[in-house]
Amino acid sequence: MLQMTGVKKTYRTELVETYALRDMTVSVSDGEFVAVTGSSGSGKTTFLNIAGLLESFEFGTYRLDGEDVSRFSDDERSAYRNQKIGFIFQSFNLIPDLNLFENVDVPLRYRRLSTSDRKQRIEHALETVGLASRMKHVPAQLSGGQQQRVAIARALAGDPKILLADEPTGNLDSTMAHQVLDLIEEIHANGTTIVMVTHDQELARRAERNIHLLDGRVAADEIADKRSAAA
Amino acid sequence: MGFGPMMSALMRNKTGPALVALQIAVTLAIVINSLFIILQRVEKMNRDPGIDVNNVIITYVRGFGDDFDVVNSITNDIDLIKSIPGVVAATVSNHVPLSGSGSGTGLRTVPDETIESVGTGRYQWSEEGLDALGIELTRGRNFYPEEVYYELPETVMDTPSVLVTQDLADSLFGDEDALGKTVYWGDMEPSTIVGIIGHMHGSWVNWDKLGHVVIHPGKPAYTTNKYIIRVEPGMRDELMPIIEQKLGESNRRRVIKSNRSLEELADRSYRRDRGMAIILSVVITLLIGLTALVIVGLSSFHVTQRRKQIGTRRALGARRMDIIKQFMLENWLITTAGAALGVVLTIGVAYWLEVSFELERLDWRLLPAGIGTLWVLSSLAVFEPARRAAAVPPAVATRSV
Amino acid sequence: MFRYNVKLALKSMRRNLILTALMIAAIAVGIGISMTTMTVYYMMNGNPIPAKSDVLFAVTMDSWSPLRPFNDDKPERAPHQVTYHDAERLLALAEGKRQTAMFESSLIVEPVNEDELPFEAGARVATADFFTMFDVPFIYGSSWDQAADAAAEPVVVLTRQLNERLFGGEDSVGERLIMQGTHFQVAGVIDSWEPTPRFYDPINGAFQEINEMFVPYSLTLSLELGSTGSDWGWKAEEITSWEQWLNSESVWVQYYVELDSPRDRDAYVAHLDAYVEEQKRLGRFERPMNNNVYDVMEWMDYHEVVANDSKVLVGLSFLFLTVCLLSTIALLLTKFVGKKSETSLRRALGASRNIIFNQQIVEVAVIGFAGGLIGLLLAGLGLRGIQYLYEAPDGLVSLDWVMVLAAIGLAILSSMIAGLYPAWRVCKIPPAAQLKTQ
Repeated sequence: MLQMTGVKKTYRTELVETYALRDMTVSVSDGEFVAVTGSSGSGKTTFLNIAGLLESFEFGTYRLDGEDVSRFSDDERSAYRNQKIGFIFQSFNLIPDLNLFENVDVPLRYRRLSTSDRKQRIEHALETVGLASRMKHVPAQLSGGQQQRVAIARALAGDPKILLADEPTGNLDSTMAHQVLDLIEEIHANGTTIVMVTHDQELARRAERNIHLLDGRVAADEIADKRSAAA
Repeated sequence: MGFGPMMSALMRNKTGPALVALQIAVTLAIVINSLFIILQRVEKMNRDPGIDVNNVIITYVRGFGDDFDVVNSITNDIDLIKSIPGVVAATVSNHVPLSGSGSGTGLRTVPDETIESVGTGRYQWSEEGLDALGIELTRGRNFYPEEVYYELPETVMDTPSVLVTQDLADSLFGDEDALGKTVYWGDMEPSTIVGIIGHMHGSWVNWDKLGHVVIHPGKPAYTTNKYIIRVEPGMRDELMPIIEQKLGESNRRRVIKSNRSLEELADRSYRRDRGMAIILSVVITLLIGLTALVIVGLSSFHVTQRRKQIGTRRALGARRMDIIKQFMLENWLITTAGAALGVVLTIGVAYWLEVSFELERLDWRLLPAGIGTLWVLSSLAVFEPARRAAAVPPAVATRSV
Repeated sequence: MFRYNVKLALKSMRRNLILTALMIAAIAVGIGISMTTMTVYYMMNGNPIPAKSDVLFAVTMDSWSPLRPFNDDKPERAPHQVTYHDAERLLALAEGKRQTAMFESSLIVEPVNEDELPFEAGARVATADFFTMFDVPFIYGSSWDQAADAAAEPVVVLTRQLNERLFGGEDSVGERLIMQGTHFQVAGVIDSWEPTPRFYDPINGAFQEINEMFVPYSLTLSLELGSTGSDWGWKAEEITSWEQWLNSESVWVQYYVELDSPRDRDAYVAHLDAYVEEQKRLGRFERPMNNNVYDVMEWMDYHEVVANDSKVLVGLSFLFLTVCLLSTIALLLTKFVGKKSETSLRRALGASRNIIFNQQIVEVAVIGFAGGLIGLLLAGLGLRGIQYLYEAPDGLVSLDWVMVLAAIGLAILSSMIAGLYPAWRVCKIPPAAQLKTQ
C-alpha cells in the first residue's frame, strides 16, 4: 500500500537548514495497522505530511496504492488525497458553522457524485460512528470525543484506501480516547490500512506494528508485543 | 519601539499597507480636485452683482385683445405698484439682469463698422431703473424724466444719453475717462455717456462679458412687459402676493404671466453651478467617510490579529504609550507614503481635467492644505484602535490562544 | 458546485458581518455614484430618434455680416437660425422630402369659462410637416394639412396636458378655442412626447419642457406672433412695423428638412447654394458661401448638448469606483487571515487550488451582486437628487433596463477583478498547514 524508499526532506530558512527526514524507508502493507512513534523533532509529523501528500520531498521515491506519487503535481496530489486518503487530525478540524452532515460532506463535494450518492455515504458514515441522530447539529454542540468521531466519519465517507491519523486522541480525556480508539480498531477490522502517529506508548501498543523514528529515520520497526503474544 | 523593526515588519507584509496607501493617494487626488471645482463655483456664485437682489420683485405681464392700450396699462400698473406701502421704486424694463434672458449688442468708439464692436448687455428703463435694482451710480448723472419715452415696436430708437458700467468703459476707452465720451451703435445715432456705474451684472451669468452693461432711457412697451420692483428690506415676501393680487384686480385684460423674486431668478441662473458644487460635496463626503471607515476597520482588525504580540511586548516592559506610538507611527508611515503618491496623482488628475474638460488650472495651495487635513483625519481614524491596542493586558502573552 | 459555493459564500459573509457590510457598502457607494453620473451622461448622449436620426437635418445658411463671422470663437460657423424671409422662400421651393420652419412663441388663451382668468401658453409655431418629420404621436385627431398651412387657418394641436386643462382630457377635435382674440379650432391632441434630449430645438434648451401647443407657421404674419426664443441680428435696420421685422436680417426661425437618405445631403446643400446665389444677386448674403446641414446627432454635438460638467462627473466617479475597489481588496485581504484554517483543511481533504480559487471568486461575486443591488437603490436616490437640483425632465433621470443590467454587471465584474489577488493568496495556502508543530 505505502512504500517509501530513501525519502529526504529538508526545511530551508535564510540561516539554517533542517533535515526533517534523512533517509526514510518504510513499507506498509494493505490492511496493516501501524503506529509511528518518536519524540518531537524525530520527523514523525513530516513523515505523515509526506505520506498524506500534504508536502513534497526532494529525494527518494514514494509509492502509494501501486502508483509512484513522488513527482505528482499539486492537482494530482489533491485528487489522490480526496479519493485515496482519509485524515484524522489531533484538533478534529471541523468547520464550526457547518452542521455534522455538511462537515462530512466537504470532501465528497470535490468528487463527481450525485446528490443521493453523497447523502447515502454521509448517512452511512455517521451511522458507523454512532452519530447519525445528530446530523443537523453543529460541532459546538458536541463533546470532544464526539467531534473526533465526526472527523472519522468524514475521513471514512469517501472509502479511502488508507487512513492517516495524527495524535487522534491527543485532545481527549481517557474515556473519550478509548471510545475513539475502539472505533479505529473497528475500522481496521474492516480491512482499512491505518497509519497512526502518536507519542503515547500505550496507544502505540494497540496497533499491530510500531515504527519508531529518531532523527529523521527509522530507528526501530517491531511487530507489537501484544499481538505476537496473543498469536 | 524603533523605526527599523517596524519598517521591516511592514515590508514583510506589504500588500495591506500598500493598498491603504494607494487608496489614500487616489482619495487625495479626487478630493483636492473636487474641492477646487467647488470653490470655483462658489466663488462664481458669490460674485457681487451690484444689485440689491434680495429686495427686488420681478413681475411679467401681458395684455391681449386688439384694443389693448399697452402704454396706458403700463402707466397704471406702475402707479398702482408704487402706491403700495413698502415699495421703494418700480420701472418697466426690456429685460431683467441675472435672469438668463436678455438683449446683447455691440458698441464702438468710432462710427466705423469694420472695427470690431465691444459686446455688451443692453437694458432700457426709466429714471427709476437704478433705484429699482439698487444699483449705485459712481459718476455722472442718472436719466432725466424728460429723456424717458415709451418705446413701442414702431418707435424709432432715440438714445442721446446712456449709462455704462466701468467694465464696459474700460473695454471701450482703456484708461481714459469715459464720462462725456461718445459711443456708436451700429450705424444709428451716437450716444453720450452721461453716467458710469461702478459695477453691475447683466443677464447671462456664464458670459465672460457679464460686467458689460449699457443702459438707455425709455419704457419698453412690447407684448410682454417686465416690471422691476424694489421694496423695503424684509418686506419682499409679504408684498409679493399683494402686488400680484392688486394688479390682477385692476385689469382683467392683462394677464400676470409670472411674479417672482429676483433672488429666485438669479438662483435659477446659477442652478448648474450650485448643482455641481452640491454633487461634488456629496462625493467628497462619501469618499472621505469610506476611506476613514476602511482605515478604522483595518486598524481594528490588526489589533485583534496582533493581540499576542502586543501582550508579549507589554509583558517585556513596553508602556501603553509605547504601543500607541507604535500604531500611530505605522499609520503615519502609510499615510505619508499615500500622501506622496497622492500629490503626484492629484497633479495628474488636475492636468487631465484641465486638458480634457477645459477647467481651470488647480490652485496649488490646496495641496498642502489637503495633505495637512489628511494627516489629521488619518491620525484621528487610527486613534481608537491604537487606544484599544494599548489596553491589551500583558497577561495575554502567557495564554496559548 | 456553483450553488454550493454560493452557500459557502453566504456562510463566510455571515461570519464577519462588519467586514462584509463594509465591503458591500464600498461597492454600493461606488456603483451608486457611477451609475448616477453615467445615466445622466447616457441620456444626454442618447439618440432620441434612432430610426430617422440620419435623415433629419437642421439647415444653416450664412446670411451674416460681411465684416465678421456669426461666432468669433468658431468663425467657420454660419448662424444656426435663418431669417423669416429665407424660411418662406425655402418652404416654397420645397426641395426636401419634407420640411418645416418653426420657432417658439406664446399665446394668450381665453378659457370658455368666464370665471377663469386668461393665461399664457407656450406654443411652437411650425408647418404641418413637423409632426410627420419628428414622429409625434397623436391620441386624438391629427395635424392640420398643407391646405390649412397655405390658407393660414387658425387651427391648433394641443398637448395632452393642455388638453387636460382645457377640455378635461376628452377628445377635443373640432372644439373651439379663443386665443389672441381669434377663434381657433382644435385639429388634434398629441400624446406625451418627451424626447430626451429635445433634439429639434437644442438652441432654446435641450432639456426644457416641450411646448404646450402647436399652431401653423403661416399665422406668424396675420397674428403677429413674436418669437420667445432667441434672435440675433447684425444689421442696424429700422424696424418699426411687423412687416419690417419679418423682412429683416434677424435670424430667429429654425429650419429642418427630411431627406430620403443620408446620401442626399450634398444634393440638398447644392440646392441651398443655388438659392443663396440668387439672393447674392439681390445684394444679400454678402459672406462667402457657407451653407450646411447637420443630422440629429451632429446637431446635438454642435450645440454641446452633453454638458461639460456631466463629463467631468463621469470621469471623477470612475476614479471613485477605483477607490471603492481598493477598499474591497484591502478588506478581502483582512478576511484572508480568518480563512487560513478552513482553507488548509479543505485542501487537505482534496480541494485543488482551482476549486479554492473558484470558491473565493464566487464569494466575491455574491458580495458584488449585493453591492450592486444596493448601489442601484443609491443611484435611484442620486438621480432624484439630480432631477431636483437641475430641474430636469423625468426622461433624463430614469433608469432603464439597460442601465440596471449594466449596474449589476459592473458591480459583479469590478468586485471579481478586485477579488483576483485575494483569491490567489487564499488558494496558495498550503494544505493542512497547521499540522507542522511549532
